[in-house]
Amino acid sequence: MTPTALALRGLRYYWRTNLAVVAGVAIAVSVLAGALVVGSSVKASLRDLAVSRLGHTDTLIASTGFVRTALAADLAKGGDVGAVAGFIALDGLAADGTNTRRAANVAIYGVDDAFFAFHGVPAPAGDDGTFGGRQALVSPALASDLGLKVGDSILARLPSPSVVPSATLHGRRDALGKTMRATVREVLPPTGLGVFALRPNQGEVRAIYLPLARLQREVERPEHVNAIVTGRARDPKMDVAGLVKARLGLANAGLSLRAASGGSISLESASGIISAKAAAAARRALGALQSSTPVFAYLAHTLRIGERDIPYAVVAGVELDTLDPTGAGATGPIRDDQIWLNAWAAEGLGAKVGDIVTLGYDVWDDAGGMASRDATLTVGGILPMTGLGADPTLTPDFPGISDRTTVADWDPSFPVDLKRITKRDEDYWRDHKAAPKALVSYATADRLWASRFGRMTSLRMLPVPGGATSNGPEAQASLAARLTEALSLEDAGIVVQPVRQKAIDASEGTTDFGQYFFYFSFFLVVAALLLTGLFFRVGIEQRLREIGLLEAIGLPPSGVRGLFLREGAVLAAVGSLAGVAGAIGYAALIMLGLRTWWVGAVGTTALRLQPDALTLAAGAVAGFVTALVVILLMLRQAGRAPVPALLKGALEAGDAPPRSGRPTRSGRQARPARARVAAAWGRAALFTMVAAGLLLAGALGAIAEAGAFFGAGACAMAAGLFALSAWLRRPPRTPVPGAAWRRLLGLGAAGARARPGRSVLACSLIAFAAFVVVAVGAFRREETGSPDDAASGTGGYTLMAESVVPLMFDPATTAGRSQYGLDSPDLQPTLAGATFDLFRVRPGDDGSCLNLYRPDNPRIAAPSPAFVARGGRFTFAATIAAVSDAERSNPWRLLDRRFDDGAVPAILDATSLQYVFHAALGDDLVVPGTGGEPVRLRVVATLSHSVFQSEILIGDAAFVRLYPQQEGHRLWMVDGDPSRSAALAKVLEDRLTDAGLVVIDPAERLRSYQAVENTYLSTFQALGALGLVLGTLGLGAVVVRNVLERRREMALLAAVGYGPGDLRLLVAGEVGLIVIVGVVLGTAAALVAVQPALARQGGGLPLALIGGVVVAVAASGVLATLAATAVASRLPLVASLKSE
Amino acid sequence: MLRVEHLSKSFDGPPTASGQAPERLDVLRDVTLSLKPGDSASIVGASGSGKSTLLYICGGLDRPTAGTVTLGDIDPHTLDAKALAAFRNRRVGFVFQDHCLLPQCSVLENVLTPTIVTGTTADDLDRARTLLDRVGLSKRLDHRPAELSGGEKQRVAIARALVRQPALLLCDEPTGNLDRETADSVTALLLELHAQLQTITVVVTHNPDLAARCGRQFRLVDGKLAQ
Repeated sequence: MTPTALALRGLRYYWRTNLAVVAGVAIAVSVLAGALVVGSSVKASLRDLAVSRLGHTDTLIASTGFVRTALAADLAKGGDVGAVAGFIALDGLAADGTNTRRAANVAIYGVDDAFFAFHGVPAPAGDDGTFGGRQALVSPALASDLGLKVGDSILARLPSPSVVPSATLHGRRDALGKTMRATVREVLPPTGLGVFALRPNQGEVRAIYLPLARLQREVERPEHVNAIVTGRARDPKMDVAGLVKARLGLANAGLSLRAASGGSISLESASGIISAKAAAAARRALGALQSSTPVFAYLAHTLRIGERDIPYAVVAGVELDTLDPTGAGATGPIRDDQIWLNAWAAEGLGAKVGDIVTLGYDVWDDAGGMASRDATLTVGGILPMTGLGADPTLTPDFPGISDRTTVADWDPSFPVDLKRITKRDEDYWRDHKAAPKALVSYATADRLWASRFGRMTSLRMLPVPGGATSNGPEAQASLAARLTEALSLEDAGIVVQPVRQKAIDASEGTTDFGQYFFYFSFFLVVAALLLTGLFFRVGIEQRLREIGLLEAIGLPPSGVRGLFLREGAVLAAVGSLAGVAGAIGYAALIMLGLRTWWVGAVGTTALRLQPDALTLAAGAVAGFVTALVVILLMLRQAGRAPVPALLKGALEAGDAPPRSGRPTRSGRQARPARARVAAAWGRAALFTMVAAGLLLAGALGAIAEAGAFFGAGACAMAAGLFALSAWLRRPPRTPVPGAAWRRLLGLGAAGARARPGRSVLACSLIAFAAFVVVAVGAFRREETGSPDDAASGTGGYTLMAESVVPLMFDPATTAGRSQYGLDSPDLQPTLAGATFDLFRVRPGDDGSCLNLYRPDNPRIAAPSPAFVARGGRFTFAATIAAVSDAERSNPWRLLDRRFDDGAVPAILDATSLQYVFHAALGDDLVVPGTGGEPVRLRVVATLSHSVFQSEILIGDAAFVRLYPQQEGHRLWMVDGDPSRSAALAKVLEDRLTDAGLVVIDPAERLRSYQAVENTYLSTFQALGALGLVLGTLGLGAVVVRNVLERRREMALLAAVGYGPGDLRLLVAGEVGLIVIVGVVLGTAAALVAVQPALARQGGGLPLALIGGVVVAVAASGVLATLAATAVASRLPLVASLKSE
Repeated sequence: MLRVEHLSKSFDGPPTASGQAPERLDVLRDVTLSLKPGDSASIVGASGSGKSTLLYICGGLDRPTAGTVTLGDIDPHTLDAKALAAFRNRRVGFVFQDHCLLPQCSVLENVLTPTIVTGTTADDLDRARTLLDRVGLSKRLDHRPAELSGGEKQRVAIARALVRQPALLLCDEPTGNLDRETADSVTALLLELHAQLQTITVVVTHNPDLAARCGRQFRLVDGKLAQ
């Protein structure tokens, strides 16, 4: 006879009870491992989804401008990077042919045969045998949204990316975008190109494929693309960025060289202005050996002296002494208050040295209007009409001007009064084209016209003194090579992204579903473990005599514990193994839920169960260990009981003696009953105080609210359970006369006192489940903001409008309304009272809970300085404002803060910050800048449940500095009369159709975020309800067991004339006590815990929910009662009377 | 030699609903007793008089409030938990009123239960078989307790109590649950084994016949032991 043999006998003999323990462990492991499997499955699904959507793409080479189509072919040479395809990718908007159904966030691709070949799909053959003309392929999601089928018309609205920045004089602000009409050639299948996406997102893919040549024509960039994809390189360590750099060339950086006067070479940009980065790279390339000088050419609308003026004259800012050291510059530099006229201009103005010239020029103001400004300068010299006096190479090519033969043919971006053009002006244009008519110092030009886009229109590279003076093609090629070498990809506006790897990384997700479902399932796990403990305890209580005997015959307590632990370990192991199978089932159920009932939380149905052995093993081991700990705790209590009590089958004996021979050494003295009661009350008081302390600490902000929530809730409930334990162990009261039903109920309730530990455990199960359901319900948000409340989540705005095309004009100004066609008198009643807050936007990854992928390149937005200065919108959850009153009273001003370490102040929605970015107030977030360089954003404030959950907000100045290419504003927050918001939305969408403006209700946006949050809460509640089911099982088990143990009592009552109804009442007394106390404890603890959240939300108690819980638990109680009485009624009366 | 000297035992009464201090109950008062190997003694007394408590204290299952118990030269109440368990295993055998057999084990396994502590040897097995033969259950070795009558169960319990050849056999109402005829049979067996094995045997009983057949008879009245 060995302990193991004895344990095995016990396992077999008590198989019914053991089966219940195994079931409890299996449930716990199922839930625990299942939660982990859900997490790994979601990650794997997201990874598969993102990778499958990339097709054969491994790396994306994206240009903020455009690169030559030939670059793709250049990269393909040698085959190092596998397949290569260049294409145009733009974010736009699509509508059906009648413009009645629209879809936003549509990817518009311009592709050719090479693109189809890259993805290994045959190019669709059009009428002429190729993919071309007005054909379009659409993704199935877009076709579904717009109700499209083959042959239907589709409208694609896209930005018209201009090489010339709109914010510069020659930029076209009136270009709202392009609208292209095409015919659906094919609705793509929901695989391959039908779901092709370069940015990981689990949502539907809305895409249009247009012929590349057509799109290039529409965006006026023939032979250019803005994206190149490469396949998997033969060598995994292949440096694609290095290859791109090697094959770059100046043209792909938007730069060019041309021979200029005096043997110099002029570096120019297709945008008309050379960026600071390009200029710095060029200077690095030239080094100390070759000097260079900047030229800033600007078109002045007037040169005036007195009554005489010259219209539309190019004025160049130069360093005259450097540019022409032996000619005009030999006399020295142009003074900053001077202007030097060429002879033609001097003649036209009748100017002489010393005269005062008024230089009139236009600039775009922030509101989008053209503003005229003047500068008064003194004529410092007259240049002859040779050399610099008539040098057209000082002026870069301006589209719509340089390429025209007469001034009358100009098509500039700014208004030109052709009536001012004289024959003399036309003659000048014919003879000298855009040669500057006047020169100012470079410093003056820089002061007057510099912008974030650059501070020169060309960089003139002077011949090396004593060197070759040629500026011909060979010299230019040599210089171009040096310049290209010096240019980084960032300087060239090119970003090389290993999109496949990034997609895999991003699929790690913002949301660790494994962790979430572990949290969600936590109470379910606890319930299952309580159930395990309960059943094991029942088993132990069934065998107390056996324990007593084993100790009496000389097994030490540790030996007895070891014996039962062996049994427990076998049960836990079997339960864990069963739980592994259950985990797969549970995870499958959760995944099904995520694809169906809870799809609102994930926004995709592409999630598939993908269990892996390691996860399952980890869950099983964790469940096994936890179950073993629970079993040990149960044994510990039995181990404390005195042997004489155990021999009588009791766990607790009144004033039982100590069981050890040396109580003073071992300290294992059984406490008197009254001491146990006192200890239980003491613990109840202690936990009450801890709960209060946690709530206070949470309210004072000393600890995180989440910690306070769970901590206070758990402590409050523990306090209640200890109080119940004390109450159940109290001395019996003297019976008092009363009605039969009251006496029966009282007698039943007294049954709960027979096994107080068992009753407390059953009550814990009910209380836990009630706690979860009620607490989570209190966090449910249905608030959608109010247009009358600026502090609400919508900021009090009635509409928010987002455009595909950057909007350069302020719709609140006369010029803006005129530009957008909003100045029509019949629209004024609709527009009356409407105000607009403009936000700059850098498109990027959605930073809200709607995106399951990690937003590596998040969307950035910037409110206007006026908005920041005014403040008062939205509610801040937290700020770092402590320094100035201005920041405290208006935390938006924190965006104007300057940090010594260069970090940029940023404001995020508190929910996004916590759950998506996993950061806290004061933390730094690193996001890519324009060229992919890291930019540190410091969280200075968080917004509470706002509409800005998808973006990071930074200051206007910082935005302009970090993202100079992102022009204008793409987001309008509109405030107006709520009763007219629908009409206003229609007007805005109609008038700004070409800009791809989509107007939405901010409350709707808020609801979409809240839907996710609420779905998570629903999930939590559903799992809490499952916990309730377990609680019911536990309750039923306890009551049935108690009835069985009291069968003599029942039989006696039946023998003396009690009917089945009376017995039911007796059982109901016990069930009622457990259920009522459980619900009251769980609900009260939950309400205590969520009090801060309820107070902040201003909501009332979730009475309907509490009512629901009470009904559900009461129903479970009735079921338990019926089950127990059914068992009791089946027991034979006489046998029960005789039973021991 | 079993020596019980000036043994007292007190309990707190049940807690009162009014919250007043519970009454102190003196169950044993200055009990002194001495038995040598081969002695048998019966203790009778009213229910709740402290008979079982005295037995449990002698066997090291309970602890006196005052006084000492020694078996040989060992006072079990000075031992730590492990040594006390070993003491009970080696030196004491218990027979309880409700036999306390393990329902999951066979008759033979039940008898061998005390050998679990040190590991069952072939000698243990032989001894168990011999004892079961002597109590008349040699043909029921593989039966479960549920398949035995009350008397048979108690015989198994007696065999179990003797399998470790204890110096002291403590029997708590061994015939309390048996009919007269079976009780007589068990009594005869108990005394026969006592005579053969020369253990010190103490029997707590309400059965006057059993009490009378023991070498010495004691009565416990008001916590005091009278011969």
